[in-house]
Amino acid sequence: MLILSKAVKEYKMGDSLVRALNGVDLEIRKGDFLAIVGSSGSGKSTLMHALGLMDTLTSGTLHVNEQETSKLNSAQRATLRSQEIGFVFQTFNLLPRLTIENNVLLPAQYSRRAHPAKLPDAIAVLERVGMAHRIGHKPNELSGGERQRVSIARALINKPSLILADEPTGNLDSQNMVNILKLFTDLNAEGQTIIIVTHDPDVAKNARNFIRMRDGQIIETDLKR
Amino acid sequence: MNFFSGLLNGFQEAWENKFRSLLSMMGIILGVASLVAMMGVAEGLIRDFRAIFERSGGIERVSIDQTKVPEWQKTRASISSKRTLRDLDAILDNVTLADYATAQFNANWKEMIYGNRKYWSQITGVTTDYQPVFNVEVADGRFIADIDVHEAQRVAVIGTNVLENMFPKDVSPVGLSFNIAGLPYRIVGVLKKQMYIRGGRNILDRLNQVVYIPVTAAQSQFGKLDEVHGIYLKANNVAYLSELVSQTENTLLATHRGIHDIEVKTREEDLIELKKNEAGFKYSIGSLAIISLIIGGIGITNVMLASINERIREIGVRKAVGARSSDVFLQFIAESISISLIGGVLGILFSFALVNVVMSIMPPNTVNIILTTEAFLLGFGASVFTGVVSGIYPAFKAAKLDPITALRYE
Ligand SMILES: Nc1ncnc2c1ncn2[C@@H]1O[C@H](COP(=O)(O)OP(=O)(O)OP(=O)(O)O)[C@@H](O)[C@H]1O
Ligand SMILES: [Mg+2]
Repeated sequence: MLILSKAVKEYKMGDSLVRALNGVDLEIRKGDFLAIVGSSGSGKSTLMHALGLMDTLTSGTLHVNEQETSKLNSAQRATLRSQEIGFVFQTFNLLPRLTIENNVLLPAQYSRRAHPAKLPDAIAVLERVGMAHRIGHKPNELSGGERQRVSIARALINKPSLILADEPTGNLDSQNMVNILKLFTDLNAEGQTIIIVTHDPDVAKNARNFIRMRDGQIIETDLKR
Repeated sequence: MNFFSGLLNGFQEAWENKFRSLLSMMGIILGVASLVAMMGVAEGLIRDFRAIFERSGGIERVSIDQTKVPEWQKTRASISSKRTLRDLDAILDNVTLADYATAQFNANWKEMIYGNRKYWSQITGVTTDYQPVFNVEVADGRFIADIDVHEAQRVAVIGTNVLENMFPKDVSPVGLSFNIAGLPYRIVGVLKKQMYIRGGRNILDRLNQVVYIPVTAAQSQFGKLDEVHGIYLKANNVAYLSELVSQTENTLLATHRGIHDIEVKTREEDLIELKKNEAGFKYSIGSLAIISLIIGGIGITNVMLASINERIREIGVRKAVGARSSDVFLQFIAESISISLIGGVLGILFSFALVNVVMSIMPPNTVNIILTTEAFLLGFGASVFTGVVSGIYPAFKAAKLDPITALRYE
């Protein structure tokens, strides 16, 4: 479904170059539940951004559903991103002025589908994450765990092939963390492909497959599949 | 995301930040209000000018002026008499492009006596066609007739000021006789009162002061036979004004025995002058409004930039969930337009209030302010335009934000 090969991402820092990704090969198959671990600065977020078409590679290729993406312009990448990828962030990133309903429907605005998701779809995904009863509220009226559930609902609204979650439990207490991980596990059991970045070894255990990164490279792979 | 949900979003944003939005709208409100109100003042003045122009014969009126004889004809100039009634007859016979032609004899201010009343008035000798050429309206009785002119009858048509100052109230003066500079005249008509009040004053009042008598009677009493002080024509079709002018010139060249001592003048120059004034007026108002709209636009740009700075993360999120740069651009342009639209509507309302206040504190008929739909549309259009222009830079800035940087932004 997603094939990343020989991925290199360099950042210029004044005169010096930082290699955030240094030759990463990775294949994601439908139904995967992959955890990415590694120390801070090892390139996990950079990898997620590359996989999520948020960023372009310095070299290497990314195929999404057999489509080579390096030739796409930013508008094409944006459309592909809205249709194929759902992001879940550490800091939730819900828009404070919008209601839960409108936050969840935000990706639908940009999906450019003939039949974009509507209120019933929003209710459906909110029900799936157990937040439908708060549909008219604003994000600041919700707890951290609840906000993360809403942001997962938002990631699901366009029925993406892949959900990318970059430290989704980093801002949560342990009880909420367990609940959110349970939610991801259940979603994966229903067939949803998920990649999750984490520092937490317990979380990594939760996922079926995991890779470990250091200095922009994958140094350990455990793909049970 | 379509443009209208963008506008709606913009209205919401403006509502969320009421005070800031209002501040940023100040320039637009003032700009649009001054634009609309000043357009109203200009429109009023222009209509005044035009009304007066029309009441004095409009563009159809053509006059024959005396001019200096050119250098090369100086020695022979005496073979031509000046303007005479023979000129008028020749015009009436030959100038087919004029429906009416009249001559005028200015007897100037003369004393009039009725019983024990004395009154001074401007006595003008005219012919029957004077009425259509100068759009004179008679309220009571009739105007000077052809037969009065032919027979040099001592009859008079008087203005309302003369009526009010010399004759009994509540009865028609038609048929009464009075003296003009010692000779008796019989009143045959009273003119309609001419009123056009501006600045608290009837600017047409001198037209109520006049006394018209047959030109021949005026000549025999106050001047020499045949002498006239003005000849006027009324064109039957303004499309052929220049043809009318050459017809008249040719005719008069014959009666003046080849001497170029007259000039046929149309009021086109007056009209051009009028239009120039109108244009000048509109330009100065326009530039004033543009200055305040520019200031208003800068206000909006500033608020948009501040708002974008606060919402960098929002932009990152929108892009992460699939917004293209063009979506973000459109969103912020729509927001800026919605701010300026609100400003424009408030400005139009404000101009309405402003005009009403001005009209109510000024004495009646001092100023004539006419708010036209055109002015409203212009005000509205100007606000939308300002919104677009002032939104471009902030929207561009927002659109080109890198989503990853935007998401990392604290
Ligand atoms: N925009 C940038 N400009 C320069 N260097 C960058 C930029 N973004 C990331 N880097 C560098 O790339 C490397 C990888 O960063 P990345 O954010 O992927 O790490 P991470 O594994 O997600 O770390 P963390 O666990 O702290 O989130 C780091 O050394 C970082 O400093
Ligand atoms: Mg990271």
